[in-house]
This record gives sequence, structure tokens and C-alpha cells, in this order.
Amino acid sequence: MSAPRLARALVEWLIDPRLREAIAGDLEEIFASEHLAHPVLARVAYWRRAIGLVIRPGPARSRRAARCTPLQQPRDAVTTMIVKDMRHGARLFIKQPAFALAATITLGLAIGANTLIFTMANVLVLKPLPIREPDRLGWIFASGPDVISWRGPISLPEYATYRDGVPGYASLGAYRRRAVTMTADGNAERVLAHVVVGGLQGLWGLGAIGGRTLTVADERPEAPPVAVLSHRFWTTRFGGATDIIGRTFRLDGEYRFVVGVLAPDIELGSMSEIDVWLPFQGDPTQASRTDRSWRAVGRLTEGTTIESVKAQVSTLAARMASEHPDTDRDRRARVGPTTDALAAPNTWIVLSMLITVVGLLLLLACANVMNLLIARLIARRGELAVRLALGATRGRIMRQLVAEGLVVGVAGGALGLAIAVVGLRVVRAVAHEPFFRQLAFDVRVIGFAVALALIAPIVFSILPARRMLRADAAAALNDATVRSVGNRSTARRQSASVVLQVTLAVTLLVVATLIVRSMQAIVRVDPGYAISGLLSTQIEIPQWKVGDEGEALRIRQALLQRATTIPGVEGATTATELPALQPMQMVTFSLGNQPREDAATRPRAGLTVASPDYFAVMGIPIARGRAFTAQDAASPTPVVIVSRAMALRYWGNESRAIGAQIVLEPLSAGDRPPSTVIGVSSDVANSGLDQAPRPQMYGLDSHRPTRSFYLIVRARSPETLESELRAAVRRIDPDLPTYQLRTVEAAFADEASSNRLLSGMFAAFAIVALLLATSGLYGVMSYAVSQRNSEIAIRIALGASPPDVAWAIFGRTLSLTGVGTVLGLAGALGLAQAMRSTLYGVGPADPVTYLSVVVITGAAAVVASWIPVRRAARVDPIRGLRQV
Amino acid sequence: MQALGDFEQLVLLGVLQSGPDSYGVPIWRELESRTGRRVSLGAVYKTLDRLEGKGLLRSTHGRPSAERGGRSKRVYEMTASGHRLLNATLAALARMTDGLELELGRQ
Repeated sequence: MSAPRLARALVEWLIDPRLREAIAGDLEEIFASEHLAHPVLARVAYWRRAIGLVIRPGPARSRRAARCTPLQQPRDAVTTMIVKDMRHGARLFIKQPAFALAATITLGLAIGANTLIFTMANVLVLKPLPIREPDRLGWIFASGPDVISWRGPISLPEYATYRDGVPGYASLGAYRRRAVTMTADGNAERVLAHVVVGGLQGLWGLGAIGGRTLTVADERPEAPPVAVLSHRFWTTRFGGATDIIGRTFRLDGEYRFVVGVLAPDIELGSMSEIDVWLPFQGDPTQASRTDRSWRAVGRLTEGTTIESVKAQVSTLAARMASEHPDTDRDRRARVGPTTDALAAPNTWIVLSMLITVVGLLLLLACANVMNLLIARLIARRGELAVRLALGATRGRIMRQLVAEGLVVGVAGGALGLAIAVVGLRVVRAVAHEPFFRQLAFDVRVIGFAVALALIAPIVFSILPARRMLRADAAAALNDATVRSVGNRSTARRQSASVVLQVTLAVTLLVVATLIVRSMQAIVRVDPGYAISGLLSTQIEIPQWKVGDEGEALRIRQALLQRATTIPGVEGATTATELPALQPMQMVTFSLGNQPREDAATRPRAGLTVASPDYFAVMGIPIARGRAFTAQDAASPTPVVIVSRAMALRYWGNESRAIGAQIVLEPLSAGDRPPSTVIGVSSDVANSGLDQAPRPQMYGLDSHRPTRSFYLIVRARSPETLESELRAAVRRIDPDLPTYQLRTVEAAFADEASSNRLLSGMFAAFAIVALLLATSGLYGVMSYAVSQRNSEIAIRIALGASPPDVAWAIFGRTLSLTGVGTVLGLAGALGLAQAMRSTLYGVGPADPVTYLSVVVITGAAAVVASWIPVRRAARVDPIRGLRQV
Repeated sequence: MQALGDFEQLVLLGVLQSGPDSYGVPIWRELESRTGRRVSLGAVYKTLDRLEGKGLLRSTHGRPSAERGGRSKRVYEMTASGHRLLNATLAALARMTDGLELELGRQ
């Protein structure tokens, strides 16, 4: 049993020494008696009393009583002096506005940057998910030969196998998002649905604000078709109608009853885009094994760990891979915690980099403010020595100095919060990703900023204060008179502080430059086609409306024709995907007339189904052979064009590919004639901008009908044609929704927005770091020169020339900067190795980056030492000597 | 004549109620249990200190004990002028309530 040590120290430190012993003893005694009854409550009560003693001046009642005796000064016996000290500190700062401003801005920048980054960490790490007990969930992530992601989705039969075969799961659910066409009140619109299976809403513990949530019973094939609306969709689309439960509308042509409206708390991140939740009705075991679009998540049974479920799941995955070699060959699965499902590993690395960077920034700022404080303390040595000599205790003076630091902290914290508020506005204005849109200030963020504002001053004011007070009073008094030569320990401390600042700044600069360079490299990657001038919209011809394939083809051609006639349009095409913006659609194929290999070993490549003008409209050059023509589309013999990567991989060179025969995986049963390769196109970035191009084929939609595609037009100023294109589609069929209608450039800009935002942040932090280091260097050097005034005067009087003196000072600056730079480069190299996987197009030891940082740091050192050096060279020996 | 604030009166009475070993903890306990209101230790000490400054109380150091973590007590006792002033205040209060027993009891 013992009282909380920190609280006790607080009392002993801050309470009036006359009553300290009695009060501390009383607290201890009360604690001892309460501890017997309830140890935890006793500790809480101790803290409460200690804080009350320290901060509260006592009830107002007794103060009024004191006023009745005017001759007696009302005296706060017990209250701490800290408020008084802070007031005193504030007065000192007002007297020295330059110091106050420098310290506040320095600290404010660092606290602002840290607070801004904390809002991100807050959302990713700390914000409670609206899901019940998220740490008891195990998410199934699959990977396989054709899956780029390390946390790929699974198929429904796989889901059913895991649901029935993994004892570690109390229940396992799955979901996928799907765009569906909703028809209500005669309007067709595209809505985003979450299709769930396994009672996912109950498993996540979601609540309804009206009606009910979806249950396993809704998933039976014979159950009535139902839907649950998201809160946002209910309010925006139905105006929050109170009679929504029981209403019906058509989704993809099928009538559905609304049975409930979800509570709004699930609307976070990507979940906030969901309009409607639907149950999967049917038998998961009978679904397609190749339709892998489901995310499975299960609640673990009591006492089960993720590790043990992982073993069970990967065993089942291996069994399925051998039982279904056609579809599941080489597929693997693992189980991960909810944090893995929330963000990709790169997000975590970037976040930890950001935290490291702003942490370094804060250290830099503290070092800077500490230097300022030390310079001021040295100037105040006389005052402090006199107070010590007159009987002030060291504790009392220490308290005073910490209180002064707190004033800087509070001012810096306020500025920091303001900076973070502005920064957050900028972030939300620039970013398009939903993640950045949910960043917001909450109690935790503000608490974090306040904590920094209170902790930082303790870091930067206790150290110098201790140093100051260690020297005994008499020595300090002597020392307060002007010294002729800089004191050796002071010089050493200054050197150390300059080296530290330069080290931190160089590390930061290198890391930030590497990140900025790699993000720019991604943005600069050529997607392989001419994106400017393109306008696109996603269109789906619904099965429920147009059952006949021939009719669908006719609609597609009418759309193309209508789009071409829009004034200003130079060409139009359809395509199943926009390269580099959507994941590629893979098909298996077999080469030539060779005997059909078995399905498991057949090669796979991307397939884009397009209309004849595709290559001209997209601006993808044909490297060899020819592009599609209208005759190709009219002829029943299928032809394909392959990408250069594909030609090299399967035929060795481009010309050998021309004329080759391949057989594509059939869309439906029945043998298909082989397709002839008529051309080789140049590569596009089909697996994303940061991946190498993979083999890609192009086919014609008259040979391979498709209902879901992009309608793409090329025009001189595509952004002006948006409403015309929408009207053109509506004229063909008012039931066709135009989804994601935007220029391709805008789509790329959206895609790159988070990259640009993050590189902007890193660049801003690096600039702040450089400014802080430069001002720190300047501060230390000019202080050193002012301290060595007499020494310099003596040297000049003894015959040293001003240039000699200037070079001496300059040489010291450069050597300190040099040491700091070397250390910083070493630190940066280590950090860069750690974040290797996030870098793209630039190595962790990129010489250009390191060299330019060295040059910039050198330039900053020259700038920082310029004024002090000039001042040293101009020391007037007569005036300088007079001070000796 | 000096006047006593009402919390000062309560603290002085608390010193008397807690008997010969009258220091912070028992005084605070008497105040909390008899008045039925929450009183902070800080307020008690603040008032004790002020009353001592006015010469109405005096304090001596008591013996340290183990349960107090080896810290000594500060034992308070009433001075003669403390007695006089408290009596005068209470007497004034008694005179003011004289004959109002029925009136006050009505509530």
C-alpha cells in the first residue's frame, strides 16, 4: 500500500512549505484509512484531493470572510504559486516581445504539425469503430496467382467452406458492394448496395433507428425480398420520411420492401457511401467460384486467438486449392485483425513516417526554444543569483522557470491549434479520398494539443533551469559579471545543440524529399494513353430491362452513334475499363491450335472489350499490325489486339505475334472459334501507375457482348460536354443512369489527390524543419559572438585581422554543421531503409536527394552565420576591451 | 471587534469538537460529518491558517507516526481570544434566534 507517488510529489512540490508536512501527512493518513475499504477509490480520492489542494484557492466563502479584516492581507496559504508565477512569466514575455514571438512561433508550428497528424492517427487507430468488439473479429484475406492485393476478397463457396469448417468462428459473415439501379417514382438512379450474408449486420452489432436490421432469415431463398436503408440515403433520398418502413421500390428490376433504417454511426469512411443494404438470398455453396468479390469477417469464439483461426483457415484454403484446381489453384488465405482490414500496410508505414517526422519537428522546436531560454537565463544570471542569495530556495526558482516555460507552452499550443485548424481545412479542400474527409477535431485531438503544450515546456525549461541552479550562488554572482572568454561548458552545450538541430533537420529533409520525389514519380508515370481530352461515363444495360443480347448490342451502338454526333466530339468508343483507373479484368486463354491445356495451367491476361475506334480515341499507338476496323466488328471471325508485354511474353517478339491464334475462355458453354491476333499495341499501365504493365488483350464487343462498360468520347474541351453526354444517353433510354461522369483527367487527379496531399505535407514539414534549424543556428552563433565580444576585441587588439576573426567564427559554424549533416545523413539512411516499400521510382540512398539536402543545409548554414560573422569582424577593439 | 465568517465559525467549532488531538484530519471529518456537506482539505487548512494569523488559534507540532508516512501533525488549539470571539458570535446568533423557535420550526 502506498499513496500515488506522482500525486504526492505534486503536493510536496507545490504546497506552501509551512503547511507541507502537516497536509502531506493528513493526506497519507486519510489514504491509509480509505485504502482498507477500497484501494482503487482511495487512490482516486488521493488524486482528487491533491489536485484540489494544488489548483483550487479554497472556497470563495472563506475569502469573503477574510475581507472582513481589512488590516490583514488575504493570504493564500495553501494554494500554489504557479498561477502567480505564470503571470510573472507572462509579464517578462511582454517585456521581450521578440523572444516571446520567436518561441511561440517555433513551438506553434511544431504543435500544429503534430496535432494535424494526430487527427489522422486518431481516425485510424483510436476512434472506436461502430462495430461491436472489433478486436474479437478475424478478417479472411485471400491471395492467389492472379490477385495483386495481399488482402484479396473470396468467393461465396469459399465463404461457405470457412463458415462451416472453422470451429474458431462463432459466426462468419461476408459482404460485397455492388452498384445497382434503383427505380422509384419513375426515375432510374445508380445506388451503392452492400450485399450481406451470414447475418453480418447482427455480427457487427449494427442497430436500426427504425424498423429492424437484416437477419439470417432474410437470406433464405424463399424469404420475401427486403432492403435496409442507410441513414444518409433515407434522409437525402427520401427526405427522412417517417412512413418509409414497408415502402417498396425496384432494385435492378426486382421489387423490395424497406424493413429498416440503420443508425448513422456506421457511416464512416467507405461505409459512408453505402445507400442500401441487401441480404444475399440463395445457397452460397452453389455460387460461382470465380466471382471473388466477397469480404469475409467472423466473430471469434471465446478464448480463440486470431492465430489459431488463421491456421484453420489456411488449412481449408489448401484443401480447396487441391479439390478445385480449375479455379482455386495456388489460392491461399490468412486471417488478420480489424486494423489490417482498415488500412493497407502502406498507410500504416506512411502514418508512422508522418508521426516520426512531426515528432522530430517537435524535438527540433524544443531544442530551439531551449536555446532561446538558455540565452535568456544566462542574461538573467544576476537576478537569479541575487534571489538565491536572499534566500529563495532552488525549488522556488525552478518553479518560477517552469512556470515561464508554461507560458510559452500555452501560447505555442494556442497557435498550434490554430495552425492545425487551418491545415485541416486545407487537407479537406484538397483531398478527395473519404479517409481525409472524416478527419475532424474532437476531444482527443484537443487533449493531445494541450498535452503537448504542457509537456514540451517541461522538457525545454527544466534542463536549462537545473543547469543554472547547479552552479552555486556565489559562482553565479561572479559569473554574472562579464566574462572575457566563453565558458567551456557553455560552448560545449551550444555545439551539441547546434549539431543536434542540424542532424534532425537533415534527417527530416532527406526523408521528406525522398517521399516527395517518389510521389511525384507516381504522378508523372505515363498511363500509356492520352488522358487529356477524354470524357467518360460508366453505363450498365440492366438485364431486367433488356433481356436480349442483340437488343443490348443495338443500344450500345446507338449510344456510340449519338455520342459521336455531339458537336465538338472527335470520336467515341466503349471499353470495359479505363486503364490504370480500374483493376484489369482477367481471362484465361490458350495459345494457337495446340492441344487444349487443362484449365489450371492455362495462361491468364487482361482483357478489355472495346469498340473498333478504341485505339484512335484513347490515343494508344499500334506498334505493329493494324487497329480494329468496322469490318472486323461486322465479320463473325473474332480478332484480337495484344499488348507489347503480351507479345514479348508469349511469342518472343512483336512481329511473330501477328497472325497467331488464341482461344479465349468462353463466356458461356459451347466452343468458340480461335481469335486471330491482328495487331500489337503499346503497353498501358494496366495494373496501376506504380506497377509494371502486364499482358493485355483487346477484343471487340460485337464478338464478346458486355452490358457494363464505359462510354468514352474525345473532344477538345471535354469538361464542357458533360451535360450533352448525359442528355445523349438519356435520349437513347431514360432508364440508363450515367454513373461517374467526369473527364479522365479529373479521375486521375482524384486518384493522385492523396499523393499530392501527403507530399505537400512532407514538403511543408521539411521547410519548417529547415527554417527552425537555420534560426537555431543563427541564434546560437550570434549569441556566441556576443559572448565572445571581449575575446574578439583582445584578439583584434593583439593584431588579428577582422577577416581572421570572421573566418574563425565561420569555420566553427561550418564544422558544427558538417558534423550535424553527417549524423543526419546516417540517420536518414536508416529511416529510408525502413520505409523502402513506400518509395517508388527512387531508391532509399538516392544520391540526388542526399546531395541536394547537403547543398541546402550548407547554404542555410552560410545564411545563418552571415550576420554573426559580420558582427564579429566589426567588433570595435576599444569598446570591446572596455567590457573586460 | 473582529467578525467571524460562517466557515470560520464552523472550523473553530470543529477544533473544539475534535478534542485534545485536534489536527487536520479529525477537524475535516467533524466538519464533513456534522454539517453534511463536502469540505475540501485545502479549504480547512486555508481557514485554520488564517485563524492562526488572527491569533484565534495556535498550533504545535505533534509526533510523527507510521500511518502518516513519518510526517508530523500540526495540532491546533483555541486561544483565549478565540474562545471570546466564538462565544460572542454564538451569543449574538442565539440572541437573534430568541423567540423565533416557532417561526423557524414552521419550515
